[in-house]
Amino acid sequence: MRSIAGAPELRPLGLARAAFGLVFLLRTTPVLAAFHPTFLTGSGWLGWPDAGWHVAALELPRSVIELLVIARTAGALAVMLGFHTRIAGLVAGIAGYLVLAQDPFGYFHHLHLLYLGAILFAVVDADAACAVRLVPGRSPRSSLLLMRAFVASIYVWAAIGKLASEWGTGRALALFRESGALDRALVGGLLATPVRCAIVEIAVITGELAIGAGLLWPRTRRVALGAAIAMHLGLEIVAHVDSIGWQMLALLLVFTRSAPLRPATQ
Amino acid sequence: MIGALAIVVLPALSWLDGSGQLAWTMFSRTGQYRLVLTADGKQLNPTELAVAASPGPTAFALAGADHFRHQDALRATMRRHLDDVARLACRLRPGATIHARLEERMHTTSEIIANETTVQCAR
Repeated sequence: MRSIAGAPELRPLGLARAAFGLVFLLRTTPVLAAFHPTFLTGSGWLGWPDAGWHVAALELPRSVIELLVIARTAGALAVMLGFHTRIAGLVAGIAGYLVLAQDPFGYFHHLHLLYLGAILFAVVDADAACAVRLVPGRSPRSSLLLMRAFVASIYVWAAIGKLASEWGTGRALALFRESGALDRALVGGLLATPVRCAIVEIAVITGELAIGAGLLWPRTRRVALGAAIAMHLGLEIVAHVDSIGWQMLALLLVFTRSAPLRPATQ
Repeated sequence: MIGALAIVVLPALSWLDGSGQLAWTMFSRTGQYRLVLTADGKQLNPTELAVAASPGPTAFALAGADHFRHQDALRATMRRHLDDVARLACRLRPGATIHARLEERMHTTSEIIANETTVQCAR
């Protein structure tokens, strides 16, 4: 039987690609319909044309949108399997953005992360390991570095966003709690007073900055990885965060231990 | 090149346009919006438009928007597409003059900023 393991030094990238492709498929198709997840609406095929009225940023004919949804799904499947990811990732990402443009009110960070992530996997050596069609890596070092920097940057940007908002005053989490974005039964005690809210807000910002920096430094990577996993699992329990936590958990696989990198091949 | 674009340029640009939509600001912002629609001077509840527009994300953004809604991504998109929303209301009130007023609060304590548009609907 043919091996799909591939280059050991790029196994983290291959694992992350496969896991990310799986989350992409689960989020944009009706595979999970039997479990009635809150994000599944209509036919379950995200963006499939329906009878609703939409404000479009780029209006395309119905048949073109249907083809784009099919192309996006095929692309995501190929990304998951590691089959021509250089093309499949671009197809999945670009088709995803075009379908999203049919109704900009459907824009959420987790969809942007899905499509941008697929495009990034297309430009790195993602098929060099854990792929049904193995392709020797061309630049393993920069491929790993790019994906790791991308993942770490998300934590840093998230912290910057909070610093520029009301986080740290106690008002942000109080608002999220009152708006129903957080499970009141679970966080009610923790966020019962403005002071407690402010303390948690400062802890979250500090944590995100520390995770972003810690992931990039080998000596602190393991601790940062553990903290990131704990944070995402915690948010899955107390907040309505759609699929972004699962996407991040998939992307965090790029920080798992790999064999030492070898010199780049031509 | 593409790394710099994804990691720095796109997020930074979205900060410049005020939305931060591409800068991973999930759960960061506390912006709110409220939509006031009138057709020939008579109030048109955004939820009525949402019911007609359903299903889909546009309907979700309109539902309950007669009161302040806390959803920063929708607030930013609503401002960008206020004209389109007014034109959408024309489907409910053909021939009417639709006036749309978007009221935004960037933070829970900041003052209200309003943007308005008027569209004359075809019959």
